[in-house]
Amino acid sequence: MKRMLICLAVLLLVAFPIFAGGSGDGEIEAAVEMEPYPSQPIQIIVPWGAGGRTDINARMFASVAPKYLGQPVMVINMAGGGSVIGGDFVAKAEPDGYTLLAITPGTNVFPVVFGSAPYDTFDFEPIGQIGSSTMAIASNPDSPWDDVESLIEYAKANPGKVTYGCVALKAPQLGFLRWADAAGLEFKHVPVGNDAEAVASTLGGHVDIAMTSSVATIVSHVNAGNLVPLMVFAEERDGNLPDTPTAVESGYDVVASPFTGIAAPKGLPDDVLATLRDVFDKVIVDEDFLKVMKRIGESISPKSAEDFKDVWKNDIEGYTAIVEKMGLK
Amino acid sequence: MIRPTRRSVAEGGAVALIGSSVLILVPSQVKMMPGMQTEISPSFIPAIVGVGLIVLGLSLILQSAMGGVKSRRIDWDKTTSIRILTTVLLMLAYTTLFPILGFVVTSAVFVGFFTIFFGSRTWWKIVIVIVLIPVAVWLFFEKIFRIPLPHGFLY
Amino acid sequence: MLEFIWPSIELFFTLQNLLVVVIGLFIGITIGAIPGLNVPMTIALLLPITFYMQPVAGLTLLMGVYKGGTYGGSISAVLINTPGAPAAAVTCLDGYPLAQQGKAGKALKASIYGSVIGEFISDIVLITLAAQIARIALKFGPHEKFSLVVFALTTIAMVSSNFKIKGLIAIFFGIFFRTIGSDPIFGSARFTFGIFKLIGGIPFLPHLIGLFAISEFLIQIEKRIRKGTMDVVVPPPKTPDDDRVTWQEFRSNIRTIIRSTLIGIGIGALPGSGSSISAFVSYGAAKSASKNPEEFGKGSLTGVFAAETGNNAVTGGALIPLLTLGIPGDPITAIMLGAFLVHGLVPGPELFEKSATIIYAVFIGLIVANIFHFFIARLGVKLFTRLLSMSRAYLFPIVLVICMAGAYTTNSNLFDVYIMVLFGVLGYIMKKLSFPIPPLMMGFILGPLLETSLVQLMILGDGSILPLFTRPISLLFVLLTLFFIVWSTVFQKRKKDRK
Repeated sequence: MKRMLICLAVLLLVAFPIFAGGSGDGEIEAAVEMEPYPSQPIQIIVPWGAGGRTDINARMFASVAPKYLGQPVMVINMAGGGSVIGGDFVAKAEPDGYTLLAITPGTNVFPVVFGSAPYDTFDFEPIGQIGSSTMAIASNPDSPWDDVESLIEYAKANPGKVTYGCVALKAPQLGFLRWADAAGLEFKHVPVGNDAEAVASTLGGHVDIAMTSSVATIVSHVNAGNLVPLMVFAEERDGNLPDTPTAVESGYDVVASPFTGIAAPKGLPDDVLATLRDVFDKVIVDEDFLKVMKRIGESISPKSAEDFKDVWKNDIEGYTAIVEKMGLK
Repeated sequence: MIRPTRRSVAEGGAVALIGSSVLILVPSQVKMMPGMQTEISPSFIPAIVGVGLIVLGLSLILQSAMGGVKSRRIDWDKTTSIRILTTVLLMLAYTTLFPILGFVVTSAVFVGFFTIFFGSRTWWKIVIVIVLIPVAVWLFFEKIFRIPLPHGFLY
Repeated sequence: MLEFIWPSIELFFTLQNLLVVVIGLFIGITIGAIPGLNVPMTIALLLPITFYMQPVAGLTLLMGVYKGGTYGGSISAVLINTPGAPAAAVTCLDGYPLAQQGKAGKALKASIYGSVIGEFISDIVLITLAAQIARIALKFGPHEKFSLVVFALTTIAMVSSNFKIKGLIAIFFGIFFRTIGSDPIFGSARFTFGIFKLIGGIPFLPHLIGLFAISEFLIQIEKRIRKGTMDVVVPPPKTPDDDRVTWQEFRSNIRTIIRSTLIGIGIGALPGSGSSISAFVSYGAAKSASKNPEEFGKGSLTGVFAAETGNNAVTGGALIPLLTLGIPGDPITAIMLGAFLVHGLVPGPELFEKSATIIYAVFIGLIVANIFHFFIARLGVKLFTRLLSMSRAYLFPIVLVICMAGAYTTNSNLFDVYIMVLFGVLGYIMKKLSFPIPPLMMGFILGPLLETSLVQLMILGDGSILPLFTRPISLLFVLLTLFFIVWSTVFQKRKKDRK
């Protein structure tokens, strides 16, 4: 007891001068603002855990960007709440260009559509789109269909019997629902944690169809003959699956390609924004960057900030409509 | 039939009480996604946990009533309770202060305090630990792991 | 396969690769041994560096960290009752009591032997039988996963202390804590009490550090301090035999080692499980096969062997679904998947056709890493034991500071640090009231798998759970669960009554 008291006294004695001297906060910040941007390291918040596609994109961006930016770029994972935690952090961060976000529709579209995000889609300022992935459906070769036509026939004859595995309430399920709605079909949804699980469940024959947010997870299984690709949901056919038709080709007006890109909190000073967009444009055509992106199967489709903003707008309108129509909200 | 011990009644009762609070909280604290009708709703597992805790809490009492497993005695006295309480408060203070004062400064104070508390009286060793450890940890995270720790206004 | 051996050997045996293996193991063991630092984070940070390395070097570096990290957790588990990695939580149960009897050296060496042997066999299985095992792993659908999780949780509750009901209560607490936040399927908010940060749920690492490290710190605070004396952390060995594993002891544990290795490979090959489950199930199996199960938890060397072999045997097993199917089973292999992709190696059925030379070079790297692991670990143990002969006056405050920094940096979030302190207090109360902590951690880890597989199987069966009993693998686990409950309540009791 006595010992505790003595220790506490020592602690207070040490702590006192620190408290007394504590008012230099504003001065340092003011000094930072004086210097031309960027004068200190920049952080990119990845609102997911390490190792995912978004994370690798951001890490690759961060490893190339310093070449053009002149400052180190750090990647910080802030996972949780289906990326809403990290999204909220950036939305409310100081718009000084030192905090950026690796953005996907999972952060600024779906949580907004479902009303679970404490921010709005346009609380972020687009820096640029890195790419958009091609969503695809594939099934086990043992299933009674081998292309979209025969699947539709089968599903018409057995409404609600065919199961599809995909992540719930995100791009894959909503994209699938849009198509099923357009085709007037009824399927049974089996929610899974991620694309890999959807593929594993289909390979193992536990579900009939896998809907993945990117063709990258299915290509090697398709080449090995373990999966039959049925359809992709992008505007054009995918280079890795040249024989697989798009939904539009099959006669359904469904295009859904989740984007990845870089964004900042809203309200950035014009010069900072210009610098960042300029750096982004250089990184996106950098050889090192492109090489790795190609290897990981990311389809690079760079878009300028303005076009990127239009993508957000289309997404939010399209998905709000489908969610309301399906009665999911 | 032996009477249940007072301790088992307290422990079992507390567990059962927590279980019932979970059950009571389920309707207000589990937000449902409308339109997503599945056989198992998001409140199913919490409800199972609630029921499970009530059953297990009661079986703890029952077990003791049937002369079941003897628990270890708890060592507890006034000094201990003051020590633990102070330490927890200090940890909370540390947590609250380190974004304000910076990681290095608060850690130095904290390390110093406990080193002395645990009985170290060699002043030069204390100084080394106070200076070296926070700086080393800070360097490790900031320079090697590239994850910034709060600087506070003192850097 | 044989035609690739020579080019692969040539590819692997360069000075750089050998050096990288040593560095990887060294980093892994160190990170694993220090509570508050974690392997997934380290691998994520090394990932961009591997982008610029030769594929074989980059991949063996990560593999080395993975192996070393899975093993390293046992060092702090034995010496200061704080697992440096979740997989070592089981090692505490017997390792720490052994250390307190002056047998720290024995426990640590048992952990090295178990880990290295488990790893070695598991790597050999990976190299030779990967495709076949992957095919079996795919058979595990929601039903099989659900009954496996129920079996694992039952085992954990039954073996981790003498107070079985308290073990079950701890598991339910763990499941409950994990339900806080967004649910794993639809993301609906649960028990957030209007606190926004809780939507993200209780972060795993701060929860883990709190339960084990902070609670241990509080226990240390309790201990009386005599004026002028400074206690050492671990008592010195009383006899030379306390510092090593005798041949006799090793021989009597060979069965345990083999059994735990097989369990580890099997569990590792199933996506979504992981090394901590394997450690527990191995421990449970060893306890039920043992002639003296009452020794478990009081310093049984078999317990250490089972836990450590079980968790390290996972490392090879976990690479099976990753390499053959492109499906990562845990956060660490998820990051490794990225490393493969970045080098143009697409894990999946085509990997062995397209990039055989590189993959076999990596396999050679795994085997070489095993050999190095043995020596580096022995060196590391010497170093860490020396470090811990330092007074606890310095050790525990230092550990605490690292934990603080570790909890903060997981998500760069102050909230997480408060969570850590909170769970520290909870862990302390549990320790005082003899509630076992590892089951809480396991409930926390397995909660989402339990819930997701339950939801999936109900959807697939249109609300019927009957397939749980008609599908053979699922039925096997249901029966095993029942057997385990009966064994641990009825037979144990009869044995006790007879004495």
